[in-house]
Formats: sequence, C-alpha cells, structure tokens
Amino acid sequence: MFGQQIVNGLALGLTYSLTAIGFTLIFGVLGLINFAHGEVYMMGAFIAFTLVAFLGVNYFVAFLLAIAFSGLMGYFLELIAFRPLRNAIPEATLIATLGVSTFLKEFANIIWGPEVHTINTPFLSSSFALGGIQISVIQIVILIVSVLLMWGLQLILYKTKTGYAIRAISQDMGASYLMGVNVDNTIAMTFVIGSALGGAAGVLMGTYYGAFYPTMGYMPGLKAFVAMVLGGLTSIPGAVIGGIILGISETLAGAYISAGVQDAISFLILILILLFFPQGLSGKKRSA
Amino acid sequence: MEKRGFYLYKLIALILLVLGILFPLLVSDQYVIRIINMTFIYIILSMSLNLITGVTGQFHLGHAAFYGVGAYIAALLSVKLHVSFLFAFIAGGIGAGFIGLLIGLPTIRLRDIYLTVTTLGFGEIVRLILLNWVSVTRGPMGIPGIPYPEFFGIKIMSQIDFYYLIFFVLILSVVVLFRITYSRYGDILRAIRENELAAKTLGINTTIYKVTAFVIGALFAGLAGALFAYFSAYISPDSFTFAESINILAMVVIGGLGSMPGAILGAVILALAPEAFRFLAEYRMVVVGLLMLGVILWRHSGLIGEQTAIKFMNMKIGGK
Amino acid sequence: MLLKGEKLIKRFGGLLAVDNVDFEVKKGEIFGLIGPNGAGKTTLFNLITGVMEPTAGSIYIDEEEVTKLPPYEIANRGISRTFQEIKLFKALNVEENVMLGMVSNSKIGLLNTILHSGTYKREKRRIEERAYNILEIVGLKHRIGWQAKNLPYGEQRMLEIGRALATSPKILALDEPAAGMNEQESDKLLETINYIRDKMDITIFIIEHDMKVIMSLCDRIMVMDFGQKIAEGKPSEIQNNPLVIEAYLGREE
Repeated sequence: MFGQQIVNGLALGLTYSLTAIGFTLIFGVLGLINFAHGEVYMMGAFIAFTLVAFLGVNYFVAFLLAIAFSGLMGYFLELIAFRPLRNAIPEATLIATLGVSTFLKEFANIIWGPEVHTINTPFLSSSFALGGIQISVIQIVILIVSVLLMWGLQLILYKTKTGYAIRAISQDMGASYLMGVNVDNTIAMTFVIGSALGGAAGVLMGTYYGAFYPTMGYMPGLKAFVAMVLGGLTSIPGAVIGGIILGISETLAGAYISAGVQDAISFLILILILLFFPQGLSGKKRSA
Repeated sequence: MEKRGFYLYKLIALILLVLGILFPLLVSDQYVIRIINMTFIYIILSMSLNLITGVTGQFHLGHAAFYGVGAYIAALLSVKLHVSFLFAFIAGGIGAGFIGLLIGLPTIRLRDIYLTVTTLGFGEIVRLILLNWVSVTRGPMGIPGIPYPEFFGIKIMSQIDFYYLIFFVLILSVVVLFRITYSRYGDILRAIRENELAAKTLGINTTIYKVTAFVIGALFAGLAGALFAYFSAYISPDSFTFAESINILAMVVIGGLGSMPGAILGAVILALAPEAFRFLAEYRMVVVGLLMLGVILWRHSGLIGEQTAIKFMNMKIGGK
Repeated sequence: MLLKGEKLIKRFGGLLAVDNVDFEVKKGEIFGLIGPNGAGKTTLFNLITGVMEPTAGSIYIDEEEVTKLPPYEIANRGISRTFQEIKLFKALNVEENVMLGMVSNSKIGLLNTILHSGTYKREKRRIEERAYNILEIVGLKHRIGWQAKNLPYGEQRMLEIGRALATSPKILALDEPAAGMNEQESDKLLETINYIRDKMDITIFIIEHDMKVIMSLCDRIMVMDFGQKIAEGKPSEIQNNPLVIEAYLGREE
C-alpha cells in the first residue's frame, strides 16, 4: 500500500516538476510569475488530445507536436503579455498573463466544450505488478519522458549558447545586455523552453488521469508555483524536488487522511515551510 | 499656500451620492438593480484590496478568502443560530479581520513573492476547508435559506431594499477607506511600500502598520461577504475561489494600484463587463480576458493611476 | 556621553567589517568618521541605527543600552539618519517626505484619522507647519508639491536631511551628505549642518569623503581602516597622524 502510494506520488510529482521548471526558468530571467502557464499546460494537452482522438495521429507523434505547439505558444505569450510590459510594474504583467489565461480557458471552452474528454490508449493504461505494486505503462512513460526532458534541459542550459545566455540573464540582465547577449531573443527562448515543458506535463497528466478539460491547468499551475517557491525560486533541481515532494505528500495525504485534504496539503506544507525557512528549502538569499 | 475654492472631487462625490439615492427611482428594472447591487459589493472588495496591495504594497492573492469567511460567518450565525442581521453582519467583518490578524502576524514579515504565495495558499486552504468541513459548511452543497435582513423594525426584502442597504455600507466603506488612504496615515503606508527600511529609521514600526492595513482590508472584505450572503440568500465555496481573488485584484490593477477612484472604476468595469457582453453569449469571457490584457497594455499603471488620483484630489474649482 | 559604542564587532562570513571599535560622541559636537572605501564606516552607522545587529559589543544612547533594539525603537530614542544611497519615498511629495519624520511621535492614530477628530485636525496643522519650517531650514521651500524623485540630486540629499530632522533627533547621523554635490551645494550643506548644531542643538555624527567639508566642520574625527579604529582627535591632529596618512596614501594606486 505504502509503496504503491509512493509510485503514484512520484508520477504525479514528476509532472508537477516539469510544470514547475517552466515557472522557474521564467522567474529566473524576469523575476515574474506567469499565470498563463497552467493554460499553456492545458492547451498542450488539448492539442495532443485532438490529434489523437480526431485525426488518428500516433500518440507519441501527437505528444511531440503538442510540445512544439506549446513552445510556440510560449513565444507568442512573451511577445504579447511580457515584452511590452518589461519596464512596467510587476502587477501589470501579472494582470496581462491573467488576461491571457482567462482568454485561453474560455477559448478552450468554446472549441472543446466544458466536459471532460479522454483518449483511449489501452497500452498506456495497462499495468503490471512488481513486488506487489501495480505500475502502469503511463507511469513508466512519465518517469522516462520526465527524466529525458530534464536531462535535455540541462544539456541546453550548460552546453549551448542559448543556455549560457539564459543563465547569464538570470544572474544580471543589465550586465548581460552590455556583454552582448541578445536579451530579447534569450527571454523568448526561455518562454519557448519553459512552455514546451509545461505542455509536455499537460499531455502526460491528461493521459494519466484520462481527463482533458479546459480548467485542467488551474491546480497544476498553482502547485507548480508552490513547487518553485519550495525549491527556492530560481533553482531547477530545487523545483524538481519541490514538485516530487508535493506529488508524494499529496498522494499519501489522499490515501491515509482523506481525499479532501489532498489538495490542501501542498499549501499547508508551503505555509509551514515558509514560516520556518522564509527563503524556501534550497534558496540562497537573494541580495535585495 | 492653501488655494481657496471647492474641491472638485467633493462635487463629484456629491453628484454620485445624489445619483445613487435616486437611481432606483429612475431605473425600476429588478435585474439591473440586482447587477448594480453586486457591483457595489465588488467596489467594497476592490477598495479594501487596494489598501493592502495598492497603498501598502503587500501583494495579496487570497482576498476572496476574507470575503468567504465573512459570508460564511454571517450565513452560519443567521441560519444555524438565528442571530440577528446587524450582529451577524458585524461578526462577519470582525471574524474576517481576526483571521486577517492571525494570517498577517506571522506572514507579513515575508517578502514579496513569499508573501504572495502564502496568501495564495491561505486562500486555497480556506476554500478547501469550506468545501470539506461538511458537518458545518455543508461542503459543496452550500448554505441555502439565509433569511432576509431585519433591523430596527425594517425588513429588507426586495432588490430595491437591498440596494439601499448595500449603498449605505458602500458609502461608509468609501468614507473610512478614503480617509485612511488620503491622509498622513495613508502616507505612512505608502512610505512603507516605497522604502520600508527608511520608514523604520524614521521611528515607524512598519510591521504594525502593515498588519493593521491587512486587517482593515480583511475586515471590509468580510463585511462585503456578509452583505453578499444576505443578498444572495445562498452561498457555496464556488463564490470564493482563487479566480475570484484574481478578479478582485484585476479590478484594482486595471483601475490603478494605490488609487481609490481607480479601484472603484476597475470594479465597475469588471463587474459590468460580463453583463455588457452578455449578447456575445459564450464568447463574453473571452472578451473580458482580452479587455484585461488590452487595458493593461494600453495603460501600464491602470486607468486612473495613483499619481493621477492624487492630482485629481487636489483639484479645486471656483476661487483661485 | 550622548552616544557610545563599546567593543563593537560586525562579521559578514569571514570578513570583519567592524573590528572591536570603541567610540563616544559628546553632546553638541560635530563628530566625523572618515576612512578609505570599505573601511566599515557605513556598517558602523548601520549598527548604531539598528539597521544591522552587531555580532558583539554594545551601544548606548544617553547611558541607556540600545544594542539589539529594532531601528524604529532606536529612532524613537533620538538617532536619525540619512543614507549613502538616497532612500527617499520617491512617489511622495517633498513635504510628505518631511512629515513622515513626524508621524511616529504625533497623536495621529488610525481612529483619529477615520473620525477626522479635533486632535487629528490640530495635529495635521501642527505637522504641516513644522514641515514647512524644516523645508525652510534645508532650503527646499520652493519645491513644495514636487514629487521627491523629480528633485535634482543635491536637493534629494538635502530633503533626506530634512526628513531626518523632522523626527526631532538628539543625534543626526549623516552618511556622505556631500556626495554628488557641486561646490555651491556643499557650501549650503556646511551652512545647514552648522545651523542644525548651533541653533537646533542637535549633535552631528557625519561620514564624509570630502576633506574640505570634514576638516572645516568637525570638532573631532575618528578614522577607520579595515574595520578598525586607527585614530581619533581634532582635525589638525588627524591631518598629521602618520597612520592616517598611510591608510590613505598606501591605498592609492
């Protein structure tokens, strides 16, 4: 029973981690919260759903296309809601992303309707027993894909020029600009990468729970935000660990306390941790 | 130094007051009055959040929780304990203020994003408590059958009755919040927002002021919640979600952070927009989203920014 | 002794920013603090104004120990300061900045504010009059109604002094008030500081790089280098102290 919950929690937590990475990358370069991130997650999921359910595209091809589409959405999101407001107060950007978020949710409502959709993937939802623990194929897929994507992200961040530029801007945007880093393009790339990961998380989660609906990005968006804060705001490994902690504690709380507590537990953990560690778990003190 | 003459804003306030009193006589459509009642409640919410987030600079994402606490306290007191309206109404405000104090004391020292995420978490926890503490709140079924308000022998039953009740509370809120916002006291709050360290070195105990602003904001949100409970006769956790917190925040930001006329205008626009766009049927919320985006791209510091509002407050007519 | 520091130490990780410093400021004097960049002068100011807690040592105002009190408590016991990097309330008006120095010991409370009571109106008038008075002293009366952020740099520094004066301090701590000022402005500054000490009976504790300002102004000077106090005395003594000369000359490239 306990082992089973850990497996389920890990699968859930990894998708939180993927979502949280996008949040963290964007927060790293701009110091801003992107409240449309949950809707990018939802749109990614719906693209995959549409491709599979209506156009009969192979699941994995659809998955890749959905990731690409989410990345593109990230690009436009930055262009519309972030770039024009770069010198405005942070609250302005927040409201702009909320505007986009409202728009996307309602847009999805019109196109796909408010009801819950599923895609039929017998292979993915089949499961096998391992030492008394039921493990489904989709859980394995989540594990493999998450690890691959996170590994890919590390490659991008540490082995490419774009990655170098992203890290430079996270340290000091003004200095990076003076050093010849193309700030506009780099920020746009950050959104593309972060949103692609968010979209990937959406597809995996939609498949895992067999549920695609317009507000599916809402809770994961909030949880990813929490995971980012737990991880210390700008640390990607921190966000991954934060996501996993949330996933496992939620599953355990759901199994051993009550289903009602499941969603609240993340926020309780967050508030408790912030009361004792006002800078997050692995957070360095940012100089004011 | 002092210019003679009459403050323009006082004249406008007077005109609005008269219009407000006469409104139900001019427009008798029950549906319209119902929407206006709801708009007034949103104005109270928006002004109270403006004190916390706009004036004092505490980025607070859980305002709907105080609204909900006020509503549930008033509803439970009147339905389960048959407490009278005035008492339940005031208890709703004080209860929300008290929760604000409990949350504010430990969290107000957290900075920026940590405070933001904590208030967000707090809001979600309150909603989940309302949803899951079924024995008291009836969970998702909500609380129906909230009686008509009755005080001093007056019974509030029709939309027009409610209109005057809510209008009265609105005016009271405007006066109190206006006096706090545009006074030396408000200057202290703004100073804390601008540079907390400098404020401390001037002998200002900034924590007390920040917590006080938080509690006052929570208290008025609670009063708005209590009004809402009586007004709609039925409440459920659906009315007090994160989306509602964001909606209230959007009113403040679109109107202009730190600006009371802005908070009022923002509330009017966002409360009426879904009604105004009703002809668009299912597309109307799409338009509301685009409206939020458009306004903020057009005017970064809101429709009536803080400085614009302060200039407006100092404008006089007549005399020289 | 109006202000006294005893064996003050402030450590940042491995760095000793303030290393076992003793000092005393007497009532009515202008006491200067000089030293090369990074000597720990501003850190010492942060310690005596409660902005930072000392790692060890004690601070006394009028014989009362204030060592670990928060900044607002220390301010209310009579020390007020300005900052090397100007920290005005930028969105507020010139006169509002000054008035904020007075609210903490005024009778304007929340309840009076909401009720617009007689006390509120009286206090409001008193505070306004005094603010205009102070703006006259620092030469900014012509800027009433301006937003602080729109003032020229030198005037922003004067406004910070005015704001600090408004708290009616016993000691005014000035952190490089002449920085970024032109000749004319720093002359006005000297005049104002002398006025504040002579006419308002306020003791001055000043950090300054401009030697002309410091030598002509101060009664006594303390010199810091690498966190330690290396000399103390009258301006003429300091000018001829070999340790001081070495600290300054030895650092020149």
